[in-house]
Order: sequence, then structure tokens, then C-alpha cells
Amino acid sequence: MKRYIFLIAVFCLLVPGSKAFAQQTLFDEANSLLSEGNYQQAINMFQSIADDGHESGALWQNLGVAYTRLDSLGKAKYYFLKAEKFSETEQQAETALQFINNQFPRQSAVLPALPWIRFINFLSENIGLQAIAFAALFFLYLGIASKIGAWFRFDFKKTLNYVSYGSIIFSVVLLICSIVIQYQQNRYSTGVMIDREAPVYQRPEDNSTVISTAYEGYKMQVDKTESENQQSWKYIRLENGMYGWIRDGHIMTF
Amino acid sequence: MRRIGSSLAARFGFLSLILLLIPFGRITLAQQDFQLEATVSENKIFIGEQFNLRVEVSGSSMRDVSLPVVPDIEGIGLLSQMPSRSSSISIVNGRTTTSTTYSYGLIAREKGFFTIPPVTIEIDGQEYRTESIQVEVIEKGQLSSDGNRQLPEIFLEVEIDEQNPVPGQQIVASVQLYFKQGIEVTSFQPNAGWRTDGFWKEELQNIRQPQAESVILEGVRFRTATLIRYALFPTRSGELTLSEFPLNVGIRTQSARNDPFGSFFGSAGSQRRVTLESEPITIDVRDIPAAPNALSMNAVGDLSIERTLATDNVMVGETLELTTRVNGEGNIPLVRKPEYNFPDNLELYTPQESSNIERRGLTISGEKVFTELLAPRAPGDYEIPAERIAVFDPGSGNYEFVNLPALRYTVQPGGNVQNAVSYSDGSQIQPVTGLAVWHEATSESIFSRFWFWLLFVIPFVGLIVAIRKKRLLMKLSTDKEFARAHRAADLAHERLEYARSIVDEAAPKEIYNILHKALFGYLTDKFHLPEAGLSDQDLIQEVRKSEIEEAQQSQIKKMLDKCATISFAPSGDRTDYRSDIIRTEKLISELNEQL
Repeated sequence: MKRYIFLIAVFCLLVPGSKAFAQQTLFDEANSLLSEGNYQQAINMFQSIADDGHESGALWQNLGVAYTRLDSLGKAKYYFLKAEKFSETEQQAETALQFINNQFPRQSAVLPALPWIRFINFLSENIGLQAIAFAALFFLYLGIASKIGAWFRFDFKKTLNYVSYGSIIFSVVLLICSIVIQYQQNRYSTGVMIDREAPVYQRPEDNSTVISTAYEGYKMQVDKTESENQQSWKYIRLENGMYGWIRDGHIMTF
Repeated sequence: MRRIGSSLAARFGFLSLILLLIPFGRITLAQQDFQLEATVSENKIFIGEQFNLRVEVSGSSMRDVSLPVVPDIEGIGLLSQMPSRSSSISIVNGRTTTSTTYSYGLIAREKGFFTIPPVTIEIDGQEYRTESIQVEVIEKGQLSSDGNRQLPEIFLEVEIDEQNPVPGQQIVASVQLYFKQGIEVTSFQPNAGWRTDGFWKEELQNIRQPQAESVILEGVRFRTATLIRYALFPTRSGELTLSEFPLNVGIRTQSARNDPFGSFFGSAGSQRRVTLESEPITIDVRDIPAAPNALSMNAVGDLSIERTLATDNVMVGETLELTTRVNGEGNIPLVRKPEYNFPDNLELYTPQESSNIERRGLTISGEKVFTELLAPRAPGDYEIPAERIAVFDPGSGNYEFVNLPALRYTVQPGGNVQNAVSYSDGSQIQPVTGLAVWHEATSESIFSRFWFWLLFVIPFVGLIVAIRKKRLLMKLSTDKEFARAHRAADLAHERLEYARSIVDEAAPKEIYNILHKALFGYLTDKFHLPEAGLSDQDLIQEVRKSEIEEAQQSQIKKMLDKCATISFAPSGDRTDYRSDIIRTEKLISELNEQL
């Protein structure tokens, strides 16, 4: 019996390990192609890893590097922005983005975000939705446990009541924050302009009034909910605060 | 046809009698030494026809007269806020009278009866108002009282050659002037204000000197001439409206042959300028079908398209010139630059476009050229893929397709300084090599996981349990009867346990005494009865009053009787005692479910 358990355990450890090994092998091969200057082939191989459902900061960083070599700076920016989300490649991606942003001939004016949006973005990027949701649960447990304790332990009643109310209020605040973050993530995504330029229209029609022009590398917020009913159009907010519609082929979103 | 403001009132009953008493139908302000009168040149006007509103102030002692204020008139447009003004002075029997007439040009826009509201004028600081005047606006061709269709002497129409075009299809709008025999048109001048929202408009240059032709309209001979032609291209589908076309026309009216004064004074007729407006036109623009599997340039008409590369061999950093040339008849001004799929490593500069439009004849033709400058960034052999461009042919209602072949070019390595600098700056961007940290891509939210909500609900369940427990403890400490009832079963079980522990050594009397205490005590606790001073009979009576089932009632009686009698006549062995303990225990459990 013990032998069977041992074999099953070994199997369970080896199967995911072999899969990880497969994507790492592909990744190494793509890196070799990249160093040999076969950029397009390297991109195809990196892309196949991503298509299999794997992701890593290094994968996005190297896709960004490959597109930089091909001078597709819009796509390069897109992948560096994705790599920036991973702690292991955050610093390298930031350096690359700094370089890439200087290469674009046109730079968008950036309208500062509202304070509460900055706060929500800070929580989302630095703490993360999952951590905030778990913290909300922790303080909810602490709050309720303290309240129950206050009912039965009269000697610590006052202290436990303080702890209870404080924890429950903090838990509710964290829960609200996590719901807002989830709403933001569900509704909005980040888009990067990958073509040289494209008009931004007032309405999702080619004959509509052009309210602005987006140039390669422009970062934008894409309203997924608003764009749902318009095939091949995206409703966007440019960094300069202007809202409008853009053909979805001009941008990549994450 | 001259009508004055008071003449309407003269039609009706009593007011007409009053008006008859007023010399010449004037509004006389008896207390003042002046007269104020508003009149219209016509009170039956065709849509688009001009007529005049005259305000006349006459008197002998006026010092300060303001401009009349004409209010907005429903269905009628005011051509200018500034009236034309004429003055005259007359001296009769030594009395000097000054007369000033303000004349406003009005144009009829809607059919129906309309009222020109009172005109306000300030004379010597005092405000006065004229009476309102009613006018009737009729449509061209409307039946008159004698059954004939009525048409004005001169009118304007905009005629279009296509009622249901598609976006981008050219339609020709001709401005057509109709006038009766005896009227001579000396000049014409289009006014600003023709709104063609939703259309691209180009004036066609085919009319040098309009030629009048004779036509019969509603049995009356008219002369007609096309004055101007426009090419219009709808830019969207739906109902689009061409507004009234305004035109100033200089006309000369020939005097009647039987006018004895016409020739005597040498006049060949009166000459004047009139403003005409055509009626607005609504055009229903159909949707254009989507082009299947082809690139769209918004091209409609008979157009040819070609694409060329200036050279097919360049060095890195040099530029390639890609030219797309569209020519033929159609919506040349509205044709958009095609969005080609270029290879990745190209830098595109802002494209240039130029057009040469020919406006002669009845169609717009010409050429539009898009020039794109492409700067390759890396050496190699490249291809701009073949494209299929859709051009909509309004004649057949289908798309014609123009196939543009693929264009190949070779980029040689070059010593382009800018490029080299670009790469050297970017050399700090190096790929990540070695073992990568892999994550599974997941888009599932924590809020969509079951276990999260389970973890969320658990503390609330705990809270509910704790609340119940707290209430129980509170009641136990404050309600003695409830506390007795609540602890009755536990106490009875303790007593039975004690009885079980002494069954091997104690006397039967003692064992059954404890059994009696357990059952008797349980029931008195449950029924909130005092334990002392209560007989078995009293208790059984209480039991009968309760909701305990018959079977259990008889078992209670039997057990209490056995406990009472065994003290006097012990019988049975230890096995019987044990079974009685178990039976009592079972009985209490059953009672506990009922009470």
C-alpha cells in the first residue's frame, strides 16, 4: 500500500513538473532565436507558450524585446506593460518602458487621475484584489470572534468590543475596496495603440466626427461594458481625458 | 390686393361698422397728432414667395420716432431686421405733415393662416402698437375657390435626380426658376443659408448663361431656367433634408398693353428685386451594404484604383514611397486612404493626399492620390500583401472589386546613423534568459469562487449560534422555572446513573427510591410543580392534563406505582432492576421529546 502511495505522489509531482519543463524548453528555444536575430520566429514561439495558457514576466518581457527589435514599438510597449505586473520583471520592464516611451514621436498629454481612482489603482497594483479580499475576511472573523468573546468574557468586555467594532468596520472598508477593484477590473482594461495613428470618433461610425487622433504607443482605458454591444469598436478614454470610439484593430488590450 | 391691419376686423359684424366710421381704415390715435398704420403687400401668399410689411407713421408734430419692432411670426421669415425707409412731407392749407414708411421683406415658409402680431413703435417716448394682420399662405398648385390650381407668378424649385441614393452616391440638385410670361429676369444671386447637412456639396460648372424654356404648368404657360447645379454626396444613411434654397432675383414686369400711361411715361414696366425660397426637400438615403472580405475606401462610383512603390530596393533608414491612385467618376472628395497591412518593421510617416476634381458636366470626376512614406527599420525581403478593394457601383447596386497585387521590396543593411543610435540606446533592453517563473493564466475572480463565500458566511453562522447561546444563558439565569425545566432531563439522567452505579450492592428499596426521584423530579421540573408535598396521584393528574401521549402516561403511572409498592414488597432480581432503570431512562427520553 505504502508503495502505491509513494508512486502516486511521485506521479503527481512529475506531471506538472514535466509540463513546466516543456514550456521552459520552448522559452529557451525562443530565446535562442531572439539572440540569433530571428525575431519573428521567436515571437511566434513565445506566443505559442502564451496560447497554451502559461504566462510569466520573462515571457512578456522577451516578447517586448522581440517587438522592440522589429521596431513595432506599440506592441513592445504592450508587452512591457504586461511584464511590469510581475515582480520578477518589474524593474526591467520599467527600464524598457522608459526607453520605448522616448522613441515615440508623439506623446499624449496626461490628465492626472482623480484621487479616489489613484487610491483604488494603488491598492490594486500594490496589494492586489485577492490579498485585500482575504484581509477583509480575516478582520471579519476577528471582529465577530471578539464580539462573541465580549458576550461571554465579561472581564474583557470593553476591550473586546473595541476590537470587534474596529475590525468589522475595517473589514467592511476592505470589502468595499475589493468590490470596487473587482468592478474596475471587470469594466475597464488597459489598451495600447499599436498602429501609427488612428482617428478617435465621437460615435462608433466611420462617418462620425473625429474628436482626436491616437498615435502609436498611446495608453488608454478601454470601457469593456460600453464596448460590448459595438462589434469591432472600443470605447476608450485617452490619457488626456478625452472619450471616444476607436476601431479595435488599432489597439491591444489586457 | 393691398390690405391694411384693420381690414380683417372689418369683416366681422359690429367691428366693421366701427371701421366704416374711420376714414380710409386708418388707426387714428385721436389724442395724438399722428397716425400709425401697418399694411401687407399681399395677404394671400405662396410658400417661398416674398411679400412686404409696411409700417407708416404720419403726423405734424412728431419729434422722436424709433424703429418699429417686428415680433417673430409663426410660419413666416423676416428677411432683414433693418427695414427700408422712405419719408415724405406735404403741406396742405399751411399744415405740414411728415410721413415715414418702414418696409420689411417677409417670406412665407409654411402653409396655413398666420397672424402678423402687432408691431411696436415708440413715438416721443410713448410706446404704440399697430393691429395684427392675418395672412394666408398657400401651396403651389393648391386649388382655388373656382377649382383652378394656383401658382405664383415666379417661384423657385430645387430638383434632384435621385430620391433614394446610398451614402457616397452623387445626386444632382438643380435650382430651377419658374416665371410667367411677361416677367423678365434681369439678374439672380444665391443667398447664403442653404443648409445641406449630411451632404458633401460641389457646385457644377456647366451653366454659363441660363436658357429659358417654355413649359405648361397647371394649364398656364411658364418659362423655366436652370440657374445652378450642385453635385451632392450623402455622407450617411437615413432621412436627410436640403433646406430652403434662398435666391435674390431681379425682375422686370412688362406693363399691360391697355395701360394708357405706360407708353406715355416711357415706362417699359416696373423693375424690382424679390427674394425667393424653394421648399425643403427630404431625401431618404439607403444603407450601403457591407463589403464582403474586402478593404473599404468609402469609394462609390466608376472608379479605378492602382498602387505602386516608387522603388523596390532601399537601404535601412531610407524611405519607400507607396502611392495609391484613385481616378474616375464618383465620390472622389470622400474617398478615404486605404488601411493596408504593412509588415511589422516599418515606420510610417503621416501620409499626404492630393486631389484634382473636375466639376464640368453633370458628374464629379477626377483623381485622388495618397502618398505614404515608409521607412524600413531592418534589412530583409518584405512584401506588402495583396489587397482587394471594394468600390460600390450605384448603377448595379453591387460592389465591384479591384485587386491590388502584392508589392515586394528588399531592404539592404545601411549605415543609417539614426537607426544605429536607436539600437545602441535600446541595447540596455535585454531579454530574460534562464529559468522563468511560470503562472497559469487565470481570469477567474475570487468573488466567483464558492469557498470564498463559504468562508464569508461561516462567521455569521457562528454569530447566530452565539446569540442563541447568550439568550439561553440569560434566560437560565433570570427565569428559575425555565432553568428547572431546562435542567430536568440532565438531573434525571444523573439520578439514573447513580441508580445504575448502586444496583449491585444497594437494597431494592433504595434503588427504586432513586428511580422514583428521577422520574418524579423530572416531571415536577417540567410542569413547574413543587417537589415537596406532592403525591404521586397529584402528579399523575397533572400528567393527564398535559399533552403527553396515553402510552407514556400509563408507563409513568406504572413506574411510579412500582416504585411505591417495591418499598413494601421487594421482588425481582438485579436484572429486573437494571431493566427498570433502562425503561425509566427510555421513558424520560421519550417524554423529553414531547415536553
